[in-house]
Amino acid sequence: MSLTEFLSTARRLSRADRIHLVQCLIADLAREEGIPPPEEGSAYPIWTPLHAFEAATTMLEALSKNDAET
Amino acid sequence: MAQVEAFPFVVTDPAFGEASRLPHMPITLQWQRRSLSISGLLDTGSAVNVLPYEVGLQLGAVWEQQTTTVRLTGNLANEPARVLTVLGTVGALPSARLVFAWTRARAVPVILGQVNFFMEFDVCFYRSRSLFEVKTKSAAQA
Repeated sequence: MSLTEFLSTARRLSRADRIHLVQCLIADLAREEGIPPPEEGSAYPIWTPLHAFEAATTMLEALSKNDAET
Repeated sequence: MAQVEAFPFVVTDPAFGEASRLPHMPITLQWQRRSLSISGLLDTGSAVNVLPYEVGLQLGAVWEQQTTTVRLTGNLANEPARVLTVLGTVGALPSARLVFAWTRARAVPVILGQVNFFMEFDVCFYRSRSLFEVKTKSAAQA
Protein backbone atom coordinates (compact mmCIF):
# COMPACT_ATOMS: atom_id res chain seq x y z
CA MET A 1 0.00 0.00 0.00
CA SER A 2 1.38 3.40 -0.95
CA LEU A 3 1.42 6.33 1.48
CA THR A 4 -1.30 8.04 -0.56
CA GLU A 5 -3.52 4.96 -0.32
CA PHE A 6 -2.77 4.62 3.37
CA LEU A 7 -3.65 8.27 4.09
CA SER A 8 -6.83 7.93 2.12
CA THR A 9 -7.78 4.89 4.18
CA ALA A 10 -6.66 6.48 7.46
CA ARG A 11 -8.78 9.57 6.86
CA ARG A 12 -11.88 7.40 6.69
CA LEU A 13 -11.29 6.16 10.23
CA SER A 14 -13.18 7.61 13.15
CA ARG A 15 -11.66 10.51 15.07
CA ALA A 16 -10.79 8.20 17.99
CA ASP A 17 -9.11 5.69 15.70
CA ARG A 18 -7.10 8.44 13.98
CA ILE A 19 -5.86 9.66 17.36
CA HIS A 20 -5.00 6.09 18.30
CA LEU A 21 -3.13 5.67 15.01
CA VAL A 22 -1.04 8.79 15.68
CA GLN A 23 -0.28 7.62 19.22
CA CYS A 24 0.83 4.21 17.91
CA LEU A 25 3.13 5.80 15.32
CA ILE A 26 4.65 8.15 17.89
CA ALA A 27 5.20 5.26 20.30
CA ASP A 28 6.87 3.25 17.52
CA LEU A 29 9.20 6.13 16.63
CA ALA A 30 10.07 6.76 20.29
CA ARG A 31 10.86 3.08 20.77
CA GLU A 32 13.08 3.08 17.68
CA GLU A 33 14.93 6.14 19.02
CA GLY A 34 15.38 4.50 22.41
CA ILE A 35 13.17 7.06 24.14
CA PRO A 36 11.22 5.43 26.96
CA PRO A 37 7.49 6.12 26.67
CA PRO A 38 5.63 7.80 29.52
CA GLU A 39 4.35 5.21 31.94
CA GLU A 40 0.62 5.13 32.41
CA GLY A 41 -0.37 6.15 35.91
CA SER A 42 2.99 7.77 36.66
CA ALA A 43 3.23 11.37 37.82
CA TYR A 44 5.47 13.72 35.87
CA PRO A 45 6.04 16.97 37.75
CA ILE A 46 5.60 20.22 35.91
CA TRP A 47 6.95 22.93 38.11
CA THR A 48 5.89 25.91 36.04
CA PRO A 49 3.38 27.91 38.09
CA LEU A 50 1.07 28.80 35.24
CA HIS A 51 -1.58 31.40 35.96
CA ALA A 52 -0.27 32.13 39.45
CA PHE A 53 -1.43 35.70 38.97
CA GLU A 54 -2.55 36.23 42.54
CA ALA A 55 0.94 35.33 43.74
CA ALA A 56 2.44 37.54 41.03
CA THR A 57 0.34 40.50 42.17
CA THR A 58 1.34 39.98 45.79
CA MET A 59 4.99 39.80 44.77
CA LEU A 60 4.83 43.00 42.74
CA GLU A 61 3.20 44.77 45.67
CA ALA A 62 5.90 43.47 48.02
CA LEU A 63 8.58 44.64 45.60
CA SER A 64 7.06 48.13 45.38
CA LYS A 65 6.81 48.33 49.16
CA ASN A 66 10.40 47.14 49.46
CA ASP A 67 11.58 49.74 46.92
CA ALA A 68 9.72 52.49 48.75
CA GLU A 69 11.41 51.57 52.02
CA THR A 70 14.94 51.56 50.57
CA MET B 1 29.18 47.53 31.13
CA ALA B 2 27.86 44.93 28.73
CA GLN B 3 24.57 45.61 26.93
CA VAL B 4 23.78 42.06 25.88
CA GLU B 5 24.76 38.63 27.18
CA ALA B 6 24.39 35.49 25.07
CA PHE B 7 23.96 31.97 26.43
CA PRO B 8 23.58 28.53 24.87
CA PHE B 9 20.58 26.26 25.39
CA VAL B 10 21.87 23.54 27.70
CA VAL B 11 21.47 19.79 27.17
CA THR B 12 19.81 18.73 30.42
CA ASP B 13 19.68 14.99 29.76
CA PRO B 14 22.42 13.37 27.66
CA ALA B 15 20.11 10.45 26.94
CA PHE B 16 17.85 12.78 24.97
CA GLY B 17 20.50 15.11 23.56
CA GLU B 18 19.12 17.88 21.39
CA ALA B 19 15.56 17.25 22.52
CA SER B 20 16.51 18.08 26.11
CA ARG B 21 18.04 21.50 25.52
CA LEU B 22 16.60 24.16 27.82
CA PRO B 23 17.37 27.85 28.42
CA HIS B 24 19.32 27.48 31.64
CA MET B 25 21.34 30.56 32.46
CA PRO B 26 23.98 31.34 35.07
CA ILE B 27 22.86 34.07 37.44
CA THR B 28 24.24 35.44 40.68
CA LEU B 29 21.76 36.11 43.45
CA GLN B 30 22.62 38.35 46.37
CA TRP B 31 20.64 38.68 49.57
CA GLN B 32 22.04 41.03 52.16
CA ARG B 33 25.78 40.25 52.20
CA ARG B 34 25.68 36.75 50.83
CA SER B 35 25.75 35.87 47.14
CA LEU B 36 25.33 32.64 45.27
CA SER B 37 25.96 31.69 41.65
CA ILE B 38 23.32 29.33 40.36
CA SER B 39 21.65 28.19 37.17
CA GLY B 40 18.16 29.52 36.50
CA LEU B 41 15.62 28.24 34.01
CA LEU B 42 14.09 30.94 31.83
CA ASP B 43 10.44 29.97 31.86
CA THR B 44 8.17 32.31 29.91
CA GLY B 45 5.14 30.26 30.97
CA SER B 46 5.77 30.86 34.64
CA ALA B 47 3.86 33.75 36.19
CA VAL B 48 6.52 34.21 38.85
CA ASN B 49 10.14 33.61 39.76
CA VAL B 50 10.55 30.55 41.98
CA LEU B 51 13.34 29.90 44.45
CA PRO B 52 13.78 26.40 45.90
CA TYR B 53 13.99 26.15 49.67
CA GLU B 54 17.65 25.11 49.82
CA VAL B 55 18.81 28.02 47.67
CA GLY B 56 17.07 30.50 49.95
CA LEU B 57 18.78 28.93 52.94
CA GLN B 58 22.15 29.10 51.19
CA LEU B 59 21.57 32.82 50.69
CA GLY B 60 21.12 33.14 54.42
CA ALA B 61 17.39 33.87 54.33
CA VAL B 62 15.33 32.77 57.32
CA TRP B 63 11.96 31.27 56.45
CA GLU B 64 10.21 32.56 59.56
CA GLN B 65 11.35 36.13 58.88
CA GLN B 66 9.73 36.27 55.44
CA THR B 67 6.17 37.08 56.34
CA THR B 68 4.51 37.69 52.98
CA THR B 69 2.99 34.46 51.79
CA VAL B 70 1.89 33.51 48.27
CA ARG B 71 0.02 30.56 46.87
CA LEU B 72 1.52 28.95 43.81
CA THR B 73 -0.17 26.71 41.26
CA GLY B 74 0.42 23.33 39.65
CA ASN B 75 2.84 20.96 41.39
CA LEU B 76 3.90 23.76 43.72
CA ALA B 77 0.37 24.49 44.95
CA ASN B 78 0.74 22.14 47.89
CA GLU B 79 3.93 23.73 49.15
CA PRO B 80 3.95 26.96 51.17
CA ALA B 81 5.80 29.86 49.60
CA ARG B 82 6.96 33.24 50.85
CA VAL B 83 8.19 36.35 49.11
CA LEU B 84 11.92 36.97 49.03
CA THR B 85 13.52 39.90 47.21
CA VAL B 86 17.14 39.54 46.10
CA LEU B 87 19.59 41.24 43.79
CA GLY B 88 20.14 39.37 40.53
CA THR B 89 23.14 39.75 38.24
CA VAL B 90 23.40 38.23 34.78
CA GLY B 91 26.93 38.26 33.42
CA ALA B 92 28.15 41.84 33.14
CA LEU B 93 24.68 43.34 32.87
CA PRO B 94 23.52 45.82 35.51
CA SER B 95 21.99 44.09 38.54
CA ALA B 96 18.23 44.11 39.08
CA ARG B 97 16.01 43.51 42.08
CA LEU B 98 14.28 40.18 41.59
CA VAL B 99 11.32 39.07 43.64
CA PHE B 100 10.97 35.31 44.19
CA ALA B 101 8.32 32.99 45.47
CA TRP B 102 10.51 31.09 47.93
CA THR B 103 8.97 27.66 48.10
CA ARG B 104 9.47 24.91 50.65
CA ALA B 105 9.82 22.53 47.70
CA ARG B 106 13.35 21.25 47.27
CA ALA B 107 13.36 19.41 43.94
CA VAL B 108 12.25 22.40 41.91
CA PRO B 109 14.68 24.29 39.65
CA VAL B 110 15.30 28.00 40.06
CA ILE B 111 12.63 29.41 37.76
CA LEU B 112 12.92 32.85 36.20
CA GLY B 113 9.41 33.91 35.20
CA GLN B 114 7.27 36.84 34.15
CA VAL B 115 7.22 38.53 37.59
CA ASN B 116 9.65 39.86 37.58
CA PHE B 117 12.62 38.49 35.65
CA PHE B 118 11.03 39.17 32.27
CA MET B 119 9.98 42.62 33.48
CA GLU B 120 13.61 43.47 34.22
CA PHE B 121 15.35 41.75 31.34
CA ASP B 122 14.50 41.44 27.67
CA VAL B 123 15.25 38.04 26.21
CA CYS B 124 15.49 36.85 22.62
CA PHE B 125 15.35 33.10 22.03
CA TYR B 126 17.05 31.66 18.96
CA ARG B 127 16.22 28.00 19.51
CA SER B 128 17.19 27.12 15.92
CA ARG B 129 20.71 28.27 16.83
CA SER B 130 20.51 26.91 20.39
CA LEU B 131 21.21 30.28 21.96
CA PHE B 132 19.42 33.15 23.62
CA GLU B 133 20.33 36.73 24.37
CA VAL B 134 19.56 38.70 27.51
CA LYS B 135 19.67 42.45 27.91
CA THR B 136 18.46 44.87 30.52
CA LYS B 137 15.27 46.80 29.90
CA SER B 138 17.20 50.06 30.11
CA ALA B 139 19.48 48.90 27.32
CA ALA B 140 16.42 47.97 25.27
CA GLN B 141 14.90 51.42 25.75
CA ALA B 142 18.09 53.24 24.78
